[in-house]
This record gives sequence, structure tokens and C-alpha cells, in this order.
Amino acid sequence: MAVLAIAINFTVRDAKGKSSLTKVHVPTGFTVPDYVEFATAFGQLICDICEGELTDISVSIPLSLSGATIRAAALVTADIAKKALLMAGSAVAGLFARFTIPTYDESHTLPDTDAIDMADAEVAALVAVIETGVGGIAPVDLRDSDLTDVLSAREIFRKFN
Amino acid sequence: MAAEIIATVVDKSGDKGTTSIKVTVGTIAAMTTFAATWATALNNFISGKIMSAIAYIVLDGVGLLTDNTLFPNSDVEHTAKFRFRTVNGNPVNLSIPAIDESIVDAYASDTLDQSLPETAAIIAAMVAGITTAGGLIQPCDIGSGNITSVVFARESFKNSGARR
Repeated sequence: MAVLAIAINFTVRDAKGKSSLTKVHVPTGFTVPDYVEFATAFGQLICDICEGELTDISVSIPLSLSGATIRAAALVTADIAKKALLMAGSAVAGLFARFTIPTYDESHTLPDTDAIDMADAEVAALVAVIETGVGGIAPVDLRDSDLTDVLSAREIFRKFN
Repeated sequence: MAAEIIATVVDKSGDKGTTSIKVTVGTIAAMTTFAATWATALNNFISGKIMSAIAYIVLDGVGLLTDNTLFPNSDVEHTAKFRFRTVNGNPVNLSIPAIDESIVDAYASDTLDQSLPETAAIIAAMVAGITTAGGLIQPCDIGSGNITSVVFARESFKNSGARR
């Protein structure tokens, strides 16, 4: 599937506290700093024309998954209300990151528990991506500090229907 | 500045959910490689189908923009609505919230004054693009068809909806 255009998103807040988002699409083929430069320049144009406050500018870049091995259709057991909750510690003591993953495959759960089997090879592969990253891209916490280790992993269910 | 890689997953009923991981910002190629490896690991961990992935980057430095001032009567439901046309003939809408009423041509009109520098600058950026260090970035439709002309620019209002 062709990768779609990149979206530059602008969020404006008014005097009553309401927010609204507007977006501009731009083509692929440029670098992240180029898109940041475009977004900042366009944000200034919005500031010049509006009476609200521009509170956020963001860039949404569709990523090709052609290099991934993913199934063609959801399994019959797949349900978004079945989730896995993983907690990872940060390089800064006391900080952590949470990952909630929908359609969790319960075959990775240890019998008679809610705990996910960390010794399972497929679980270990996901944990390795979180802990070590890929190709210089490293997972971080909300304050951009590197994640060090996955501390816990368990299955959870969300209210649905 | 960090990026959030967000994957959308669909289950057997067609219901969708998302999961995300925050990462350091790299090149788009590096983030694509990360996303592919992460998606492969996720695929073996879940039973749903991974539909897509995006890198979502929130910019630093909004506070550095000038004239980013909140006016007391501003309202996001009062918008400037622009329509553009792409090289393929597709319409592209741009709605800028909380506009300054003074950009309207006249009180008897809903048309925006395209000769005003602020309005003209928006139209120029959409039609001609903005030059960056990496070259000219020209806005487009979702299928990457370049915008070539402006169709109209007018004052518009959105429905406030029910008050709670």
C-alpha cells in the first residue's frame, strides 16, 4: 500500500478554553528537520491571521510496514478489549513508561495467573525492542529518558460493549 | 523532541485500537526500520492485525512564534475556510479557527480579503509552498497531489453543539 502524505497539525485554543485542530498535508521525500521548518513557518502564518493561541504543532508521518512480517487478517480470537500492560523503567530513577497493547494473545500468559511469560521467545523479542531499540532509535519515557528494562507485564481486560 | 510511533490494530469484529511507543527522533528511514521491527514483534504478541503505523512528533518552540496572543473574544468556531484545488482536480479544505474578523473583506460580505498580507501569505504557502533547507515543500492532498490554485476563501462558522 502506498504511503500517504504527511500531515502537519495545528491546535488553536480560544478565549473560552475550547480547542480546534487544523491540518495541512505535505508530500513525502523530505527530512524531519525540513518538516519541522515548514510547520514552524506555517504556524507563524496561522498566528498572524487568528485571534486564538496556537498551542501545539505536530507532524504525523505515515511509516511503511512493508519490511514487517504481519498477518493478513486478525485471528478469530482477536479482541481489542483483551490487552497486555507492560511497564518499563527509565534511566531516571522513579520514572517509567506504560504500554497498553490491544488484541493480546493469551497464549503468552502463564497458567493460572495474569502474568505474561517473560521467558516466552515472542515476548522476549518485544521486550528486546523496548529495552534496546532498533538501529539507533531508542524507546524513551515521557521526559525523553531512555528506557532500561521491562519491569512487569500482565494481561488486562477493558470494559467493552 | 521525541516521536511517538503509533500502531493501529484491528480485531476480528473490525474494532480498532492503538498502541504506541515513544522513541528518540531519527531519520524517517530509521524510524521506519524501527516500526517494522516493532510491528513484527507485536504481531507475534497479539492476535489482531496491524493496519498501519505513524510517527507523531510534537514540535518544541511554539512559544517562540510571534503574535501568538489569545484575544478575549476569540472563538474556535469562527473560522477562515479556504478551498484549494490540486493538480488532479481534487478539492483540499483548510479551516483556520479563531480568525481575526478584520481579514473579512467587508461586513456585507463573507469573503476574505485576499489582498491582505496575512491572507495572501496563507494562500501563497498553500499554493506555492514554503522553502526549507531541504527544498520547497508544497502542500498537497492526502494522495500527494500538489495544490495548484485557490478556489475560495471565506468566513465560516461551526456549530457550537449542545451546551453541557
